[in-house]
Amino acid sequence: MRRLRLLLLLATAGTAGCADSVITVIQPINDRTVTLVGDSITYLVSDLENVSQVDTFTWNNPLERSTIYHQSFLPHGYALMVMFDAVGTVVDSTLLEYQLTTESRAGVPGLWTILIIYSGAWGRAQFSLVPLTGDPLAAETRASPGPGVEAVLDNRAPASGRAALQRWAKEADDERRRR
Amino acid sequence: MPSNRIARLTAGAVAWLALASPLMAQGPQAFSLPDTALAIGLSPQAGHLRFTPAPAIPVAQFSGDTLPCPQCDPQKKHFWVAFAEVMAVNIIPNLVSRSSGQEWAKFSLESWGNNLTLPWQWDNNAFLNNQFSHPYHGAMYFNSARTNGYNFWQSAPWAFAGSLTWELFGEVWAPAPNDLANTTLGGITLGEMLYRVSSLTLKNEATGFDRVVREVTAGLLNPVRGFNRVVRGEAWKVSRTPPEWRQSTIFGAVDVGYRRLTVTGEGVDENLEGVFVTAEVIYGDPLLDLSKKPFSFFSAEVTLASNNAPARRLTSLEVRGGLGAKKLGNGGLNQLAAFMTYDYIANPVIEFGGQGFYFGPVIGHRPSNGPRLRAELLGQFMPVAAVQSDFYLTAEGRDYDYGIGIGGLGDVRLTWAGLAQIGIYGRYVYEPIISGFPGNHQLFFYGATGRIYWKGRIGLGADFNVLRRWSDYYGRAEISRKNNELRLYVTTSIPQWRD
Repeated sequence: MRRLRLLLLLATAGTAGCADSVITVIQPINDRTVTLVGDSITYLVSDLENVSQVDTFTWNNPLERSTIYHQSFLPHGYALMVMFDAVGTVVDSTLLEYQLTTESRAGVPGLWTILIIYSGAWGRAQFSLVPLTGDPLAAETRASPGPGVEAVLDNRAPASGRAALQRWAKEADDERRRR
Repeated sequence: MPSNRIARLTAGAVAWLALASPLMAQGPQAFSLPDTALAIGLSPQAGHLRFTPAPAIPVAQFSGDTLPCPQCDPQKKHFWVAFAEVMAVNIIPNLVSRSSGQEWAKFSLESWGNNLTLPWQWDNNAFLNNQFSHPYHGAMYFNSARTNGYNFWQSAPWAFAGSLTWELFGEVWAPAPNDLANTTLGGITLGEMLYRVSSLTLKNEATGFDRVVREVTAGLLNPVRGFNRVVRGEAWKVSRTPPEWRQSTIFGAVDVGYRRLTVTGEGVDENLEGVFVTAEVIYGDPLLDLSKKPFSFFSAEVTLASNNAPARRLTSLEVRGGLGAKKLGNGGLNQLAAFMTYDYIANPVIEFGGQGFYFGPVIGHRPSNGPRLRAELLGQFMPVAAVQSDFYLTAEGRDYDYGIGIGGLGDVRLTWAGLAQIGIYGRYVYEPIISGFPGNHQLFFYGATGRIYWKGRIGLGADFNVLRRWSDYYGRAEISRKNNELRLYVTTSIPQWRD
């Protein structure tokens, strides 16, 4: 009977994960910082608790590409980063990852816009962007209009958070067009 | 025992492991042969095999009935030992990761609370991790119970409980439903297979170097079992080998040869040539043993191939074990059977992994003269299946969609004992996507195989396999990929099952 109780306890625990808490946005307690060191930039927001919103910042990238050093730790929920070059072409879109280094596609140097789209995120969002020399594909990439944010999200966003992400992505797209 | 002698024995054991296989390490037995074994010429009439045309003789008669058999069924169950081992299987990887500073391993009461109350999330691990590493981890949970006196059905919940405790309490990441399914179902299938293969390796009557080789090999195949045998002193105690550790019919084969892949679809049309090696074990009689205990019959096949990019060289690992069967009609070999399956297939066109069940009729006809027939028509349900995606790509490495798998399998084989075997098969899987890019996948596998043998052990074979994938994504044009595979090979049975 004791063993049965143990198994029942484990099974109950396994099916209990349905309750969600109140959706929040980034607050002062999260210590949002965007730090420019030389040409590189670091983004950090900590102690997130069920955050769902779109955050944005700009970065003057002197080169065609960027190396992304992921150091986020988001055990629950998601955060998606979408990177636009100086003419508004999407050069990267990726979930914020734990320990990973990735590279963007080539784009037009200048003022790049970074969107971070949070969906029920818990934990820490942290990454650094470092300018990277472009490759021969750069010109071809620039010639392409590139996909809109919604198309990118279609491809990359986890299914469970897609609807919310698409809604915020549309707002972000509108904001980008206004700018 | 002096420590230098132990070191010498250990070094020798490790050196021999490259040559030793569980089958080679078996003790003397009398065998009957499955259809496949007959197909490659393993028949009692094959002189070099030195078969004794006698009915199966229990191993105990070779070893002497006078020896005690403490490991014979029914065994005493060690609940708390099994429980502690499941915890150890969780805690050891956690501590290793924690010591290297991994944040995800630093669980706390807060992380436990979050994992118990926040939604579960499908994870984005790479294909190999989710489709192989997790099931292998599950096999350890399973064997924590299986090697502590529990039978197959009693051990199955332990794989579930072990996986659930890891997901909720062993890591800070959100619990992942795919991990729970992969680990539990894959762990049961791989776990029982490894338990039985390690049983073949063990021989309690053996002593000296032979015993060391057997125990080390079994420990590598099934680490939890190896640990238990050392702790309990079973690794060196001479006793009777339980008869249920031996199966009346066992067959192993290795195919080595040339492989040509023709990949077409979506603007691609290329040929990839390389070499491959396939190792196969058929444990039990595919007809006579279906109605016995679970996995009294199972088949396991692993293939490594060159020129398989972007997939890895592990091209496939497929395990299918019988769960039970009911005779159809009076007498005869026709049965309604259930199987449990583990699939891992990775080639340039299709990554496909999943764990699930087959159910349906298995037809057998074994006349005294002429070819033997075995046919099956099975429905399949996979609670979790992963299929390569064209659009769901994450930086972490996941490039596949998750869904349930629904489909079926038809297979017909004709065997001329000791001479040849031919067969055709077809398999269909429909996967509505639950996690990944919205849509659905359809997979169709079909092909033919033929083998002819010379002098029992050596043969030549040719297989032609077609893999097709249709992927229908919402808002996108349908994507169709096809992969024709031609295999030409030399096949040999291992081991030489001689006394």
